[in-house]
Amino acid sequence: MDKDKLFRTIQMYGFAIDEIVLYLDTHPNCQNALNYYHKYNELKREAVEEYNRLYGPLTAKQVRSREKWTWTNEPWPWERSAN
Amino acid sequence: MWNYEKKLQYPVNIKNPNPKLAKFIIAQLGGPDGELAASMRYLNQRYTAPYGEIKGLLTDIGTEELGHMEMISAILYQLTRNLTPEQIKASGFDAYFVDHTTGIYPSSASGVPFSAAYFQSKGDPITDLVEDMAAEQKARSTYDNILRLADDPDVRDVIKFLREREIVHFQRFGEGLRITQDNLNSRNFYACNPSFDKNCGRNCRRRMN
Repeated sequence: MDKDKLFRTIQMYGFAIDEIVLYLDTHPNCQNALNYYHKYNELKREAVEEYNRLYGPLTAKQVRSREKWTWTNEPWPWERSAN
Repeated sequence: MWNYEKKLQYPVNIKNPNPKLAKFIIAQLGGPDGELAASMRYLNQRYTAPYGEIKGLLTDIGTEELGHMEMISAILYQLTRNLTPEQIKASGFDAYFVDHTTGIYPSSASGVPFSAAYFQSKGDPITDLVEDMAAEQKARSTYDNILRLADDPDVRDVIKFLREREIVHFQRFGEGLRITQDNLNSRNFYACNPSFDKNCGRNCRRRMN
């Protein structure tokens, strides 16, 4: 997947998880919500893995390069070009 | 502790700089009903919360609010890029500019610096959760007012997203209040404070999980 599309996909999975986490906080016994949480957590994990491999880290703990510190590469999230 | 993800919760991409909009959107960064106050309110209240569900809610919503602070800051940063001195004077952004150039500083729309006096951490879950619900509605009203004044569709799209999150958080805090009351004496929720008084609600505690 191209960089922008994969990034947007990760952003969408991330939001789905943010939302279901809050729901689960007050509905800890809801099996459907728990299934949804696991489904999107796995989808996000796979997408982030691909992003790290092809384009770079999304957290400071995901740097793959042995030659260069890529965490500080531009753009940062508040730039238009990151969105 | 916290981990940072190098992405916004929802994209901010504003084509046209417009310092006039930044002048009032800054309310949601450092104003009385802004995202910084929201985050600090929840992240400070959580320590004495009496039940796991409430500790989780305050932690997770307080964390999401940090992300919203970042989104508002991104809006302000993008609205104030590439300005000429003439544009700064004409837009009325000059007072802020003299104090901060285009640095992002948490203040209210009227220029009052952020203050911890905007929120309370009372150490009583009913008191704190009712404040939290009110805070979400105050933020929703502020976003409604911003939508009355802002005509740029790139800005409105992000503000509408943030406004919807206030409504979701209000719903979740309402559920948190219900969970708290279910743990207390239904004939008198105020008989004792479960964050302070020993054995408060002990005979009424709902089964967790």
